[in-house]
Amino acid sequence: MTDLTIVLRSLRVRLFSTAVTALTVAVAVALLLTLLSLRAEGSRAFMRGSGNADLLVSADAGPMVSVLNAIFYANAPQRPIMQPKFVALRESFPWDWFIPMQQGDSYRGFATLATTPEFFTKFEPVKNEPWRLASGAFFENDFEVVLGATAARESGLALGSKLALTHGVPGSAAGGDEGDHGHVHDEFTFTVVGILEPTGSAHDRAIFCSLQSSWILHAHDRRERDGLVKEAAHGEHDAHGHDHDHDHDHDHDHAGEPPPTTKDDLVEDDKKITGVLVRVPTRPGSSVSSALQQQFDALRRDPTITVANPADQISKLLSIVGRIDLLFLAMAVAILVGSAISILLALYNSMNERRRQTAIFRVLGCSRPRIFGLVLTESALIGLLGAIAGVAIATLGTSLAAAYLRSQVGLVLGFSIEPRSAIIVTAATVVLSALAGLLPAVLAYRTSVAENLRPSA
Amino acid sequence: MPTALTIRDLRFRYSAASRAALSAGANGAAFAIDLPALDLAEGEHVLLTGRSGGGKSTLLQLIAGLREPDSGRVTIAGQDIHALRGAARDQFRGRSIGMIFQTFHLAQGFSALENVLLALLFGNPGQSRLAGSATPGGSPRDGGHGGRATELLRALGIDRPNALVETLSVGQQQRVAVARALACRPALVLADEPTASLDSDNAEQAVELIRSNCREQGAALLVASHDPSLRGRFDRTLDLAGLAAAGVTTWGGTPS
Repeated sequence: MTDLTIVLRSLRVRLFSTAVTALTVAVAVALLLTLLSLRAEGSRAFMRGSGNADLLVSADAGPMVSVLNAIFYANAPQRPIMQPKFVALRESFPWDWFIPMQQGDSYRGFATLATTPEFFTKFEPVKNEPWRLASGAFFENDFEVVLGATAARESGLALGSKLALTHGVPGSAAGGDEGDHGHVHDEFTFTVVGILEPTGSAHDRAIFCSLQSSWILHAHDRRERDGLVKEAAHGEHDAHGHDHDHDHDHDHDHAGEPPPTTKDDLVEDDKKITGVLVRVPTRPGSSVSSALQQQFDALRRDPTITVANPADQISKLLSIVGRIDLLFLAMAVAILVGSAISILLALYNSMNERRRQTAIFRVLGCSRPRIFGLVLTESALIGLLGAIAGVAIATLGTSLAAAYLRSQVGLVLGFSIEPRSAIIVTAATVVLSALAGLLPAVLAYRTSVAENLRPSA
Repeated sequence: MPTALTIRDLRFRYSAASRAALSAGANGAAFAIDLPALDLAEGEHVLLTGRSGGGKSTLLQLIAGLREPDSGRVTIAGQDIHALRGAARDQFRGRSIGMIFQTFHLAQGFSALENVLLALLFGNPGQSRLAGSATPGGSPRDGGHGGRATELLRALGIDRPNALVETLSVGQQQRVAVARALACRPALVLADEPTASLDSDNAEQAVELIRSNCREQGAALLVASHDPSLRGRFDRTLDLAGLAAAGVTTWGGTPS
């Protein structure tokens, strides 16, 4: 028999009240932990995608827009960098790498990113996590595509599948650079040669092909407009970008036929770039950041381009989003305080039964401070039980949710309860619960023994 | 000769607030206590009679240090209990005084054994509070008191020491109350109307149970009862009203 036994017995005698109160605490703790975890994971998710690129160069209107477009595929970039400008920029400094990208096309709503093989060999979508293939290989030739993990799963495309790309991203207000969005280039057939492992970034929803294939598509449009090639007789130009599924009911009609436009038809004007991922070389002895800052400033002086530091832009974005989830956190904390009040209520409601027991304990030699401690311990213990249950609920819940999202949506969330936040929240809950027990403890402390030992009591 | 209990010039009046509370009670009368002297020798068994509501319970609470007297001294086993403050007095009460009540006042939700262990936990000095480990079967779990408690309950004929007290018969509950009062080998046992809810046969048995166990443990015993039929069973019988000429008066009298 110890004081702890007494407290546990008191909790057991009022089992229903204890359980309900602890459950209230558990729900609050679980909610708080889940929000904390979502917040952390949300930030982490935004940090994925730009990986080891130091800078992003584009002709977009602003740095934030260019990052959202190039890294998160928000919209098709509006303005291209023309080939001479691209070459001039590339030659302006001994970059570690300078990888061109062209965005703006899509397949069934999955954005394409046309680039060079360096995109897979040099660029890492997440720092220190290079691209890995789930199957197949990276593209080597024109009209070969590599699929992001989510794009592969959701589109149902497999290695060897044939597809035709849609010019423009359907549903997005900003179309391709020619302004007519959503027409299908079914005169050009692409073949899936590789499928990527999930990276947890927006790239998972993308389809990758060679820069030259994309240029050829656009050259074809130019030549159609100029009357150099016949408009495809069968091509249903879905000018409004609505009926994509229908577009593919009859694709690959031209399998085997040579495409009417080839790389030999490309002129300088076709070779448009919408973004460049840049890595500044690290020289021994000089810090990366100073070299980076120098180049960043140099590029910024050029009014025809926009240069962005993706990490900075994402931090800026998160600081905006952060204010919203602070509100959610505040609500979760309010719920936690509410659950502490329910502990206060439960203990307060049991005060009448408790008075007689308190009087008995005092007769048996228990001091007032010890009575105070017993009530406070009981209160803190309800909080501890609730917090432990809450951590369990949150852990189970988030891992179930993560498993579900992985299997159903293909979203890779590292979404789990961090031990550190679990410990901090548990400790805070116990302290809060003990505070909630203060009033009942004071009442017990002040219980008069003589008044509570009448025969009727 | 050493005494278990010495009272000198004990005076007590209810405060106005508790008088008001009491006046709603059985007799509608409030009392003051004025007790010039009362002594119990070690191991002596004394019956204190007086009519219901005559202040007997209040006197016992004063002796146990549960109420503050206006003046006077209560000395138990050489210690002036009102000279002790706070936790020290509680500790002293737990260790040196056993109390038995008409309605037993056992701790509900605890077993018979645990009720005795509670007395040992609170009454015994040097026992760690929350430090008791949960090793089963060993003495640390009950603070090393398991043997004493089990032995007492066995001696008192409790056959289900692990049953919750509220499931025991009234007779068994009374035995648990006696065991709990004697757990810390107190110098003095105070019994407040221990037979009031029993018929005369059972009352005699109950008194005999209390007396024999107190005798065995060497405890002095002060039983407060309005039942004069218990007279013959005690070493001495004192009438509260007769203890001093104007010792106990109805309120409105002239306590000096």
